[in-house]
Amino acid sequence: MSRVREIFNAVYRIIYGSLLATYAATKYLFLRRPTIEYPTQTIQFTERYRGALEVDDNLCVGCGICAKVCPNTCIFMVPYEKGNPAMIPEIDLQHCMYCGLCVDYCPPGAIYHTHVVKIVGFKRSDLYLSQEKVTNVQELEYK
Amino acid sequence: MVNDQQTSLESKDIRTLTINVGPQHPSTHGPMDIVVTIEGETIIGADVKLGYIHRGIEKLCELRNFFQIPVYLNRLCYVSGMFWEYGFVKAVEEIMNQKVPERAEWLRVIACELTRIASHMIFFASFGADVGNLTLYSWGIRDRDRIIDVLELLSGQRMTFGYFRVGGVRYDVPVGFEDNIEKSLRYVESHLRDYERLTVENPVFIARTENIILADSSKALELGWTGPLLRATGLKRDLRRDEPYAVYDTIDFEIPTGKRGSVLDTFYVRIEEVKESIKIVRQAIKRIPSGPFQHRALLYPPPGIGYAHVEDSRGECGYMIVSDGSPKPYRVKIRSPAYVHVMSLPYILKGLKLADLYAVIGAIDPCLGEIDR
Amino acid sequence: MITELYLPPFLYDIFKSAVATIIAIVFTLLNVIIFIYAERKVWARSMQRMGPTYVGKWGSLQLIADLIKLLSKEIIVPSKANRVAFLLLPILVAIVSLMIAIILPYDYVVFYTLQIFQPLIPSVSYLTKFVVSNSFTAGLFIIYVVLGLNPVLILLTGWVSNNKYTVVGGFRAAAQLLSFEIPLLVVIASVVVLTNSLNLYDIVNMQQKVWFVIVAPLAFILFLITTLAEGERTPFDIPDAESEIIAGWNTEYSAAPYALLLMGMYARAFFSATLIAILFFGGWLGPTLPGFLAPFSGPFWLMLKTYFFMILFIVIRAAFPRYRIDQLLSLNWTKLLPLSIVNLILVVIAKYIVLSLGLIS
Ligand code: SF4
Ligand code: SF4
Repeated sequence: MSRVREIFNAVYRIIYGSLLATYAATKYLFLRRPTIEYPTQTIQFTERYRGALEVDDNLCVGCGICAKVCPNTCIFMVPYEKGNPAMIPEIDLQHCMYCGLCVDYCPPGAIYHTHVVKIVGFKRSDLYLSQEKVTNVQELEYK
Repeated sequence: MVNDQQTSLESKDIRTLTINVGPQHPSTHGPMDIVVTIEGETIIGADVKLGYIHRGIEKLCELRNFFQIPVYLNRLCYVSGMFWEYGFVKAVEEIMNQKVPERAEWLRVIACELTRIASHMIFFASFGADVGNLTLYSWGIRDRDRIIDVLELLSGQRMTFGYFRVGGVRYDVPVGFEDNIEKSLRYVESHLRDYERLTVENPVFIARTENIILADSSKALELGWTGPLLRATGLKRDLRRDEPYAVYDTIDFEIPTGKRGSVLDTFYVRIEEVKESIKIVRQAIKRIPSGPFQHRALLYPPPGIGYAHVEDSRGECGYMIVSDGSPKPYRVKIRSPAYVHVMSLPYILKGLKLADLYAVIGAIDPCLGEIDR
Repeated sequence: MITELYLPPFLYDIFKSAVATIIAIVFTLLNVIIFIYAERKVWARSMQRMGPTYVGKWGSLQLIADLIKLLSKEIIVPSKANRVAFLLLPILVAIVSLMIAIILPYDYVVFYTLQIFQPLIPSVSYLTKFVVSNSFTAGLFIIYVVLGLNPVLILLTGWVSNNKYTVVGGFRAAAQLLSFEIPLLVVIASVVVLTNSLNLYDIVNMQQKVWFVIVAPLAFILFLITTLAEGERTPFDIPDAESEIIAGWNTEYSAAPYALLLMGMYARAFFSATLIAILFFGGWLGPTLPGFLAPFSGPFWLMLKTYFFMILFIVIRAAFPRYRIDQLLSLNWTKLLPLSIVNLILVVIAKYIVLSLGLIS
């Protein structure tokens, strides 16, 4: 008798389980999808999102701490053409890993992350933020 | 050496067939090569070859200052980065005898448990793909993304968080974080039932996974397993409970265990763990005290040796750090749980069917980043 | 219109068959495209994705674009493969698959759908004489035989590609298809017990009062499972388990031959959906549509049921993982085969009951 009940239970579980699985898959046919169509709709970044780096030349004092703390040594201090500050960081975005240590350690907070993520170049030098580029990353157009 | 063995098998015995699963194979979860010898559909031998994405992270650590290292370590396992940062930071704190403010401990718990959910979601996803159910894959990625959104809000990055630092965490919680977290947790929770329907209650899934026994508990201990795989065999081992770190001893949560160590059990354990993690995060949100979120710490520790381990989503991740008093560590040794699990594949696989191989790899949930380091 | 051409009778017959065949094949190809599109869209929905969206409205032209892409690609033949057989087999697979299209009442669907234009063009009604699928007295049997050719072709396809994965895939496919043919035969036999006829039109007409799914529910379930296995669809898509043996027996194929193989597979799944509708759900029987759509009601109900089962196949694909090959075979030999024999006995009993109730004649 218990054997019969066992078999009955097994059959019941198989049928019920199959129906449940089919139901679960069917349910989502009618639910809203969380996806967006990427190029036509854009993603919202959170406030802290660490995108490409930008330097504010009004705040930067040219101390070079950012270049010292960068683990990948992708910040290079060069003489600034506009004169003030005397030195300004240039950033090699190829090697930058967006860790944000330079931002954390910059005393006046002159270097910060933007929300620029579409960084594409045909040449390696396109990804090198020279001193003209690094001060206005947000206006750069990467095509 | 192993290679010779394989080729001789192939040439002498025509009944056997050697199949290279990997290094580029959709089911190996990364560049890993498993050379299986099959007779018919039965596996009679297996050999694991690793090292395809060896990046020398241990060596990299020796060349960096202490404060620069945690931002590298989340690259070890790209699905559970937080734990790997935590392990290192904890080991350094042990050498320094550094105290961590209580708020930071709670924030660490929140970050880690959220990462655990995200990592288990990746497990569901990749396991689904391995047994041929791509719906699970898509669902796993969907729910992981919701959790990752929260982590992005907290740490500013989606995979390579860089959130931990010696003496605390990097950022405090942002505005509106509690609401956001609760919304995301509800979203994930509302789908958990459907994961169960599609997997542990689905007769085809049960038939597929129920009878693949990975190991019994004594063998699992002998092989050095930790984490969900060990708990699936029925042992209640969890570092969060056995050697409580952070504030885990004050949190109320269960440790789910399986019965026989079958693949189905590992799945069951992970689903339950996600539920427990959600519970922990809820408690943490409620009980988190106010105060500083980081203490000012030394830039580098005094000479000494520190070992710390935390309960990763895959097992026990450990760091042994030797400091000689210079700004750079003398040696960093990383203990990866997935490495131990993967290296016991030859033992597990013997006698299973070829199709089981993928279910077994899926159950082990290897992360090649931490295996190859 | 055409009868006025005064063709000699045998030429007229040939002409009639040719037209019906071409119509049926074109109709099948169209439906294969619909099937693949539906699969991509419905599956994407249940996975909470978008599916194709770019080409055309809602990505409706994506399949055309894919087809053009496949046809314009270079045909790559592996150096180890047998070149002639490698290129010939996809064509054979496609032909064998499409042969079933002629037996299933697709020409009926097309010609009777055209009848809604009868008020405008009266001569359309001549087209109903062109339906040939009602003349197959052993239609069901032919379908079964044609299905039986598939394992051989698939095994050969895997073999001539000369690749470990294709060989394993080919053997798996052959084992699976061959063993599932036996319960399939028994289930088909149980339908024939009910109807005393192998003609699909007779089978449908017997269901005027009661659908066979009510008379023989077990037969329906068994038929669903076995056709899923015969069509190599999830949970029985072991021969092309992409995570295990790449794409199984068709791993080495690309470009146009691959398009042919894919077409063959989806065509078979589409035929299974139609067969289920015909054998168990009363085919084109259903309430007559109102107004000028009245002649369209038969095709409408048949295609509605077919598409329902198409969607069901897709949802099943979304919901289930795949079986393991040995579990599949043991499922077949230890469960399906005994059950199908039990089903045969049940159907004999059921037939006496429905006969005495006067539900079938
Ligand atoms: S960006 Fe900041 S750290 Fe770098 S040179 Fe300027 S002030 Fe110094
Ligand atoms: S974000 Fe990190 S890697 Fe990039 S420049 Fe700053 S410190 Fe260097």
